[in-house]
Amino acid sequence: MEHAFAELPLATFSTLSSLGAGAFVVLALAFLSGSLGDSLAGSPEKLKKIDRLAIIPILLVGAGFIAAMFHLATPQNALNALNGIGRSPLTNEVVVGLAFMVVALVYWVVALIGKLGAGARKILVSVAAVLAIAFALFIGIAYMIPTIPTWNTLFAPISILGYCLLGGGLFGLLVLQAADALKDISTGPFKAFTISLSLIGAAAAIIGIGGQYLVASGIEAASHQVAAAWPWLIGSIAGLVLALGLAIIPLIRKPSLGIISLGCLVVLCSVFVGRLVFYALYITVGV
Amino acid sequence: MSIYGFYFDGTRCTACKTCVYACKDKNDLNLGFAYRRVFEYTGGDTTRDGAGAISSDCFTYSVSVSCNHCDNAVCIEVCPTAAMHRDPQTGLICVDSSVCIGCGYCALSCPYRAPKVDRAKGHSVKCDGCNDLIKDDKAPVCILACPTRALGFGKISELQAKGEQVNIAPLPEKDYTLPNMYIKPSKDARPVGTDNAFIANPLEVL
Ligand code: SF4
Ligand code: SF4
Repeated sequence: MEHAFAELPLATFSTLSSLGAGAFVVLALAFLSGSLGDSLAGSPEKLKKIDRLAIIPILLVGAGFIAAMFHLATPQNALNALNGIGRSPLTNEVVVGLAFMVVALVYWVVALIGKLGAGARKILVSVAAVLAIAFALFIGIAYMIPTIPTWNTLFAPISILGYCLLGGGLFGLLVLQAADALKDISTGPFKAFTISLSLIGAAAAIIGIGGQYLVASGIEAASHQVAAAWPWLIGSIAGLVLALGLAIIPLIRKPSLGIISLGCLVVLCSVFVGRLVFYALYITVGV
Repeated sequence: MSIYGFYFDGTRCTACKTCVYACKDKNDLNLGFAYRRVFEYTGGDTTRDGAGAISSDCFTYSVSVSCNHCDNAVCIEVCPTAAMHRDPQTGLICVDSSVCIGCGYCALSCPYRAPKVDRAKGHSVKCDGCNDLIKDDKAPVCILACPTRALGFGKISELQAKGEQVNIAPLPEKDYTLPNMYIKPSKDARPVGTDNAFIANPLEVL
């Protein structure tokens, strides 16, 4: 696990960013599925509260970017990372991430000053959701380097997409429930969509990290790393399963802020451990 | 495309590491940094057969490696800042230290472990093929320092006539980056991916 602890800033970045961004997928579902907008028309203060709290996932992504800065030897030149656009997978990741941040912040500011009409809201929140998914995929793709055989697999983006959907989903529910809005959207397709999204997210996360581990197990040179990562892998997967339960229970039973908050905490820890496993599996095809 | 490359004669190298220290001296490198490293690769078994006769296939050989100024340079591909670049005049791969942010992607991806982030300097560092000397029509210091003349440097077409593209253990399969290092392997040289052998001086080279 040595290499994992050397990459703590990157593990923090990939965890916080994918979870924060993913919250916008659930927010988009809430506003697109109709029932929320309709029921909130009668209680604008609830809508206002959702909008205010939407800063939580945005701050998570921001904290992720700040954590990534600690990884750099010259953080004050960080903007140079945009030079490789289209060529360097790392630049592409940063660009998509920044695009997400810009759209999410515009959405948040315009919503807060009360200038966001229902139509514009739907469009902006959907763009943010699409960018969130793209961001998650690009974070994973940036690790698909041909000379690093344990990372160079589609499992890398699949796992991050899973974290984004499952974990981000929980943070989205947190925002909605903290504004006491979940009970208003119990009707309509929102529930079914969110449950499916959490299931798909959990499946992708577990298949992603498990598949990555299996790929690494097949590589003789990685045998030390593989053996050391085993207990961490099990811990991460167990946490993801628990988080899935904590995401679904408030949707099929009574919405509860406590359960959702616990789910957020569990998913944060299990994704972080999953990321540590990922970095721990690092080897190159050479020396 | 690369114009120059290194030559290494495995039948001459004694693993004395004069090349390593000549390079450290020229580049004023601190503890923990060496642009050229000599891998000591050791393996094999000594066994006793039924009749009590002992036989051994143990071997050890050394390979001196810096940056191979690869044709398919993964370090350039991954670098987000374009700090890692090919000098347009010499084709040698250099780090523009004013642009590099020290993200370490080059260090992660190079299978020869040539680049390394120097956090004190704030950027990635590695062998630049003594780019300054080459532009003056001189040879790299490691080549001049080698007491057994095991190391060489020159135009790739000349090197190709002298040896084969490096493809021996413990280095990676050459097709990943197309290294511009041509070698005359020693008799004991083993193919890439050999098991039952190891790098005997990991603290010195990794
Ligand atoms: S040896 Fe490594 S650093 Fe040098 S050119 Fe090849 S990939 Fe780049
Ligand atoms: S450490 Fe510098 S040279 Fe290496 S990939 Fe990052 S920006 Fe490029």
